[in-house]
Amino acid sequence: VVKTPDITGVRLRRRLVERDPLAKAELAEEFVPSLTAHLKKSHPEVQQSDPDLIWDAVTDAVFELANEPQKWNPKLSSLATYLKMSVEGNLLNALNKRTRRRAKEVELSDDDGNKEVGANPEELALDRLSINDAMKQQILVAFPNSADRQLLLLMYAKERRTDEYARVLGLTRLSAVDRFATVKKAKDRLKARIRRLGWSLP
Amino acid sequence: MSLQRTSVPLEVVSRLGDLARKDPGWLAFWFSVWQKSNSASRVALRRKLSVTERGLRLLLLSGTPRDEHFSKDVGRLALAAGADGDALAALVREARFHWSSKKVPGRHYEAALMAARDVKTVKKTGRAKRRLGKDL
Repeated sequence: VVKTPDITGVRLRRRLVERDPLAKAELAEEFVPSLTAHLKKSHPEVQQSDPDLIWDAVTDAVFELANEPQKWNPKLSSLATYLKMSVEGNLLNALNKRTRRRAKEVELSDDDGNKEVGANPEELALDRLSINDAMKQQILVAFPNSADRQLLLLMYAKERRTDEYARVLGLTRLSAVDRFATVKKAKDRLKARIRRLGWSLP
Repeated sequence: MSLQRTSVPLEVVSRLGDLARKDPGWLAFWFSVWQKSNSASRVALRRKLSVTERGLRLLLLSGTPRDEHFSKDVGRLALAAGADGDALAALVREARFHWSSKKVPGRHYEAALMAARDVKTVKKTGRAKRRLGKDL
């Protein structure tokens, strides 16, 4: 239980509850820099390897509290402490998720044997999709651009996540709306080319 | 707390913006609706609001003006961001109109009445009223 009430935090909380539009911006302005600095200091290895996880953890914590200020109980902690715990929790969840994803990737890689070590990801994908050599050659001729081929393989594998396509196109910094629009445009272009070639996707 | 004291890093503004664009409780949602319905770029949005990039970022992090304090909220937001208050008010109303008419077919008339009611309660110069009149 906090001995000294967090007057500033309580005022901000009240304004958030009252839906004062400037309170959300003030919450972000007040806490984002310190929360980011806190995570960078407490998890320097994450800052080095995957700084996006830190930004996401901070963003989610601030967004959540801005929308649901009642989640913070001023009698239990200061607002700063609550948010620090929240970003720490978000980051740990993200790290656990990343670990699970990597373990799954290693598992898949082991299934395909040691031949995959150091191999070209495009080749690996083609192998997984059981595309024969003649077809591979045709794909290489029809789609000389490597990014196009990778997109094609994702489409062939019935990948539905926009982020996977955006990663191939290097669009990770765009907003979700722009990412979606650009990916859709690229996919439509490839589909049109596939139709012209007389091919079809499964 | 002062909005002039610190600056939220672009990485967070961008991520918060992505989340806020899906939530009507944030001004970013209404900006997004307005941009989509007008096929407007971010630059066009800035120009419409006569606001700097820093001011726009602040607005993207802000909540939606409350119906019961609409003019006061818009005035405070515009002052904090250095934006044109009349333009901001008109933009939010226009976006609401587009949104309600798109989401619920046949509600054009109701939305138009709602927006018109807002104008009467806002102590603004004739500029906002004239602009809204054109939009409707």
